[in-house]
Amino acid sequence: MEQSQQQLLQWLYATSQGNKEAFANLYKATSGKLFSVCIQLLRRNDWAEDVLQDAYVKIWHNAGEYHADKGNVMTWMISITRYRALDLLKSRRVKLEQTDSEAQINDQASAEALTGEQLGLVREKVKLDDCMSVLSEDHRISIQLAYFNGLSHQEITEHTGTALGSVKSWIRRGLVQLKRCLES
Amino acid sequence: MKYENQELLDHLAVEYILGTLKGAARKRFQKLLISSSNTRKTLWLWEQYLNPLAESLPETEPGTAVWHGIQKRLGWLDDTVVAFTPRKPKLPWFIAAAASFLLLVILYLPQTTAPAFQEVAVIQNAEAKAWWLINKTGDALQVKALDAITPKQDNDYELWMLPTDGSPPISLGLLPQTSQKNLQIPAAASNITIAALAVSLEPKGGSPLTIPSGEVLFVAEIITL
Repeated sequence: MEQSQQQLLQWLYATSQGNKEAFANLYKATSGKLFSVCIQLLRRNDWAEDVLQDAYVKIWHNAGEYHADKGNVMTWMISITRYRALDLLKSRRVKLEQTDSEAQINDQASAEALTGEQLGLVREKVKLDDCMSVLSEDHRISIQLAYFNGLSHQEITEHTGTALGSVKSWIRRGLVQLKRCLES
Repeated sequence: MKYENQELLDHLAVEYILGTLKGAARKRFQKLLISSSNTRKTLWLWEQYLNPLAESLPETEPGTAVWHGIQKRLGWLDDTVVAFTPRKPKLPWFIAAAASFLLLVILYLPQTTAPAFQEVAVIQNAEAKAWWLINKTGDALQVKALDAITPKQDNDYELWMLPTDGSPPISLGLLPQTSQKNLQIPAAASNITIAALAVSLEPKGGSPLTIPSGEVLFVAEIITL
């Protein structure tokens, strides 16, 4: 369910005051999205659930530290969730254990590359969509593979069949271009 | 200092968000985040740029155990309820959980062929005084409040069923403090095996959450006869 930024902000503020009901509402409104973030990165339901729990415990404790400079509430919550998921990826060396689902990753990664534009249809059109679509396919796919799937440069290399140096420069140049577009 | 180079900061911030900044470089950037406000602002800016990507993902509903686990970790739940294991005849947490009370629930399971399907639960306190008598017919619960109840004007007692699979308690409604009342097992829960019943002390109107928010006064295993 899409929630307005204002509503999320009210719940987060109440959460920072110790209001459990507001926190429950915040969870109800946002957990579906954050769980998807976890699943995309971790590929394992149990780890995704662990990370989601960690994220919301942190959100409860840190609600008072949120301020607008950190972006909107959802941006802030996604950041908390993603960093926790990335930590877990690192600590459990998930990539080494994913071999059995390699095919699945490839399938989904391809699907994501295709659905970049489609996703824009199911949500409010944001500038990011426009800017992403301006990028070359190589740049866009590299960024998406890193962002959604947590793939390293090396893994993106394996996925796309290009040299490591190219992947690094794709991401770098792609993001410079992205920034220029977003700031225009 | 090279970190004053905004282009480099942008690059590091993005690699940090993507997770492609690793090892010592990642740690150096984390240190920089603590000491440099410009670095923090750069990171926040890129989070705002990139995280809408994640907002575009379709929602995936997490299992109910996640919310339960969060509340447990925040200390909102009585651990004893969460850790409840119905098959054990003696449970070490029981005394701690029950505090000054003891709950005894006796369930009489009928023969499936019996024309009148009936289960009965008697809830008693530590002095073996019955507080409620629960008569179960199908999914209907007829609850009779007995004289031993300590009345609470500003609170309600809420009845919960604890599923055997360890999933969160399911509310069966508010218990009457006098007279009797009919409660209904939610349709969605009618096929769930009940491990035990629990009674919690809640604000007027019942728990604002989907699980007990107040003190769990009584928890007990079910004795099947």
